[in-house]
Amino acid sequence: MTFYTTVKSALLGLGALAFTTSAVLADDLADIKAAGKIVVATEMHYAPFDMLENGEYVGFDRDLFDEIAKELGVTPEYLDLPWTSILPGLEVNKFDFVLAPVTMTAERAERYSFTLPIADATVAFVQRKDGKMTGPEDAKGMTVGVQKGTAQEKQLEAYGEKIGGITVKGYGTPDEAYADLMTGRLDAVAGSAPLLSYLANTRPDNFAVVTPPFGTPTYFGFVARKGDGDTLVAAVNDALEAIKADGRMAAMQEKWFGMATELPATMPEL
Amino acid sequence: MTEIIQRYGPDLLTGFGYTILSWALGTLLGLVLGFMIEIARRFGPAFLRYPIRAYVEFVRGTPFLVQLFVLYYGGPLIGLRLDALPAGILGLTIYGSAYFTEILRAGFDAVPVGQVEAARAIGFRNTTIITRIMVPVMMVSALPALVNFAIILTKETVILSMITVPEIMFQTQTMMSETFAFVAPILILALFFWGFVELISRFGRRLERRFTHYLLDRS
Repeated sequence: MTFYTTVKSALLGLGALAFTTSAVLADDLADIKAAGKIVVATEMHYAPFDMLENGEYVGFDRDLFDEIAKELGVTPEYLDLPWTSILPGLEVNKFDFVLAPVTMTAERAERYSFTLPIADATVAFVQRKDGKMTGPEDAKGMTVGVQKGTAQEKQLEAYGEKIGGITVKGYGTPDEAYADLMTGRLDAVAGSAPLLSYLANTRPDNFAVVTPPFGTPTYFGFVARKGDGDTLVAAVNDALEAIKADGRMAAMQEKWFGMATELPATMPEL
Repeated sequence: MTEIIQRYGPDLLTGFGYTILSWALGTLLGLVLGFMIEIARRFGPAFLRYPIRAYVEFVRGTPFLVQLFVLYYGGPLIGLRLDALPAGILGLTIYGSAYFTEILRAGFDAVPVGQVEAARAIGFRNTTIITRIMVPVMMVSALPALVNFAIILTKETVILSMITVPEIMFQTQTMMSETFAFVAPILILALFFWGFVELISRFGRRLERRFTHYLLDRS
């Protein structure tokens, strides 16, 4: 291959890529109602929010969104994708809505349209049952795992700088980080409090949550595309309020988190 | 864009470094191990043949990602607790060795029997026959396939990101999730691999010329 033909084929490849990023202005809610179904993406390795049980998708998000879809009058269709490809997929219209759940951050709010909070997302540590941590400060000098590309990872890094050094290792899913905690490569795993309590409650012989949480108080929300998805988010918020008002939310919280908690009815400060 | 490059440039360079390091070591060690396996199969005792065949078929018959997970998460159960980078390099070595050994087998098979017999007739020792007769002749036919597989291995290195090796795919994913820029980082990654593979194939062609030098018409 000569230099010229090499360059030519490279340019052709770049050209083909450029065509894949065009966007069309649309109203997602109207499209979804017309189609009678909503395609929703999540990562089904995020217990108790999203998980697989005997091949079936279950969890808090599943129960909640089934109810939301009922309120909207559409059929939900759930997709299982790795977290790192969920937000890119939303941007290029591969699906309509993200459950995942997504931690609310100012950077993400600029780019995506968040629903009202659906759960607490404050970050804490979990350790092996025989672990030595008595408080989050003990993480100094330790190796801590976290899911890669998450708001929890950023908070962990910031906390590490504050207390003087944590070795952070990024994993594809929280499950892999828990597995590596059990192999002894990690001293702790950082994650959102509801996830870690669920883990410690279901496997009390292996894991223990380190209290109190170390992160600043944050919340999980669902997201849609900015602009196109705004009407959809408004409709989901109305549905959420209805679900909270008649006690369905509290029942789901009891079922999956072990206790009912009050969620803010307005968007929290980010 | 320039801001992003400034912010993520160092991380990407580190990622390139880890990718090249794990590829180079994995390929080199895989080739050495593959060569040793082939020599053991060809010249070693007969009872080794079935275990070797089982090894090759197992490694070729399972996905690299699965092997890596077994090694990384299963290893500690039998006391093999490797860090991510050594586990990744060992994984590439094992994966590569099975393929390399098969390529070498085909290469050795292609060495004309007469040349080996002639060498034996004039009193060459076995080791000399391997190093002076078989390997140079074998390399002529095996080298393109070896280089080809070395190129395939460059792209398998992205899988190491799954066990937290901070190589280029790992860094790119971090960059994507923090900047929400999805196309540019992937393009940088693609260009890197393309350039890297281009270098390897050029180097491979140069090696080929060296090994086939004696075949050139000298008139």
